[in-house]
Amino acid sequence: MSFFEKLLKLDARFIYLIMLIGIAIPLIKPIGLPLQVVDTTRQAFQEVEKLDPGAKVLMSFDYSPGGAAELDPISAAMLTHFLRKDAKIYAVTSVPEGTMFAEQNLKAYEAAGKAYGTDYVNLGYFAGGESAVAALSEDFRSVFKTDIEGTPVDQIPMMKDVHDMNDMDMVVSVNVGPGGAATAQVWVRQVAVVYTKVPVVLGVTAVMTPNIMPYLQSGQIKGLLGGLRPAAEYEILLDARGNAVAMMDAQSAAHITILGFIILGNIAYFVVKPKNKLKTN
Amino acid sequence: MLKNVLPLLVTFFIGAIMIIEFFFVAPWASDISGLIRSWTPIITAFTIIVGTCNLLMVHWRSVSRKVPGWFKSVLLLVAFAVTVVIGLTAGQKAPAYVFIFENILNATGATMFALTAFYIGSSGFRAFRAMNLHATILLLSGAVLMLGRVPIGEYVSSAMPNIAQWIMDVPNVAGQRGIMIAMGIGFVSQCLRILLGYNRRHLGAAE
Amino acid sequence: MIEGRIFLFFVGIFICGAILLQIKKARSGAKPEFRSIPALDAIDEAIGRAVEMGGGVHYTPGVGNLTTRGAPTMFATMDILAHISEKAAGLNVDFVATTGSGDVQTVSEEIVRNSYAKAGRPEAYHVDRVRYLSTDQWAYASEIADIIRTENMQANLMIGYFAAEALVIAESGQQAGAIQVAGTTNAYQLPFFVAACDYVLIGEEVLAASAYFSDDPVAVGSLVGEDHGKLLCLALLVIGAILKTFGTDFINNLIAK
Repeated sequence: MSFFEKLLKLDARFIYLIMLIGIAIPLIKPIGLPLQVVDTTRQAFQEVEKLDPGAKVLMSFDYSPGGAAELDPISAAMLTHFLRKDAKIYAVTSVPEGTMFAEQNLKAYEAAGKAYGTDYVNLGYFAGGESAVAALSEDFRSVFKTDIEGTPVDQIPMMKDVHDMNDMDMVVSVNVGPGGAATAQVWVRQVAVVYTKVPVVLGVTAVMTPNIMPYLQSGQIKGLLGGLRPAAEYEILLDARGNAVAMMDAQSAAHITILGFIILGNIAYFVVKPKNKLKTN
Repeated sequence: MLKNVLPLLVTFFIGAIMIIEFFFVAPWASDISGLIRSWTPIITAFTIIVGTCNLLMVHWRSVSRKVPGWFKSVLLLVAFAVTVVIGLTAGQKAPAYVFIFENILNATGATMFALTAFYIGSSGFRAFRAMNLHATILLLSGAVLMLGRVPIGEYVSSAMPNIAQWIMDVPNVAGQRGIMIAMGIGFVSQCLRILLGYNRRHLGAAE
Repeated sequence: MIEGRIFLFFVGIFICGAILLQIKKARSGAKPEFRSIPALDAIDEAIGRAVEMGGGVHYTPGVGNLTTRGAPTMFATMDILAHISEKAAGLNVDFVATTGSGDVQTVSEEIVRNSYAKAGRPEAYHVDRVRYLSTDQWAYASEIADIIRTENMQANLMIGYFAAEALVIAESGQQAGAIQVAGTTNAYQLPFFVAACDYVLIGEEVLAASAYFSDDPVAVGSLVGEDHGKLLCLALLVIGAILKTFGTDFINNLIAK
């Protein structure tokens, strides 16, 4: 068996090992590659910039630990921006584990001296996916009777003037997609299309981006952050480089490694193919 | 009668109310559909119980019959019991619950997600071959997109991010829209058949 | 009527009307021709191969549910489950279906139990045949990977509503040497299935399975009716693009009504 024939039958575990090394090196020793900010990220950033101080933002943490690596940096970057804009955050989630991500990310508000119940609130998990999004959009109190700590919503100061989705100044869903309960499309269907005066910004995984892009182009959503790269770009726009920028080097290395294997696979394929043809003839 | 006709009538009634509410200004329909939607979280919660019962039965059966790998079922049953007890007695903010979330659930979930990167490597190596014109176009556009989405692509060419974005915005959106429109119509058809009682498989009946 | 939904209402009426008309035609004996869908043909082939290899057949409809996440897709997968479980029960091959939501679990149990009864082997149905795994996509995927490997599943059929876990399941099946037929209405997961599976159903082909398997006039007629809806959308797209090119927003304004 020639080298190229062996290459075509390469054990997958060897590919995994090379990838592991390729990703680990830049994580241990970051290279600091420069990053260009693309228009879609700038558009989402500008949409948040338009908010007035004290604006009400419904932020749905629709992801579980599996999607956190890509989506948590989006939540963190956007919350930093909301904090600077002095926006009030109404955190919810359609995924049971999302409650914990809301808690973790809202620590930034707590650390900045913001008051729970006045500047931010965690209303917790809502079951029921699309129907529940429609229901809470019509009447928050039909879905949320208390916050995550069990305080009745009517006793929370920042809930006083909030009744339905029209009372919000922006809706953000950081969304893992079909792995969650209320998918990104649900927020488009039940909020963006119905409450047209409330801008909807979506944060999704990179793999979902092509699927959500048509909604951005049609103007149904006002901003789209798809994956780790836009999160890194957002950090650059905020001038607050964090985890996302640091992880971009590792992602570069992973992409290059995969491309390297694909090129090698093709070389082997074209070397071995004529030999096989000759044998068949 | 009760098993066959009643579910169909309920389905039709609720579907009709939802459709009326979506297209017409009808406060009465909004009131009814709002009420029905508020039941959804409760129904969903009950379906989780149904699923969990099956999960426990399957793993209990596995342990009691000592089928190969039964010890994994023991682990599942113990982990389930511990999490439920802590969650119900101490609440979601209890240190023990947060510990489980951050050090077990978070870690295992993130690990599984990270596996996709490795699997993309092995499946890409195996399947991405320039066997014909279509496969070559796919290969090249995939390569440009992979380079354009990471900083290193800018070293190859400063135009790379914009070319990648163009691929995403134009050919990709065109294809996605086509698939979305066709599926949307398919969904309308599927829902129409359910509302009119043509499709009754979900009620346990054959077509 | 609510502003912004008037045009949508009439398009809906047109599509539903076309579907109902075609169902009526199909019921009165009209038999339209279908193009062959290799991935649907491959399902029976995969089950046959599992029998030959002495292994089992695994089917999963994905992480959707019957109320919110991909509900129409999940309803369509119930027909696919019925077809696969009937075949598996008839051929006396080990069969396992896995689900990721409670409502799908309940309906699936009923369907698979019916299939075994129909095949004259009701005693072969037991609680392990249909297993609820988890609503969490990764817990669900890791358990399926384990089932394929440890229970010697020679045919891995994944048709339904899948997210990022699609590749983990498909690659695990590939590495275990199972013949794999996959399909999803989540278009962005299709590339992963294409890379790792032997046959793939693309988007609406998943919804066409019922008509393909059963020759049921309702399913067949609605499929033809859907094509009329597609023609309407295509006409709107082409006319809209031409008018827009010449600076007229007629179609855009019409859709916005």
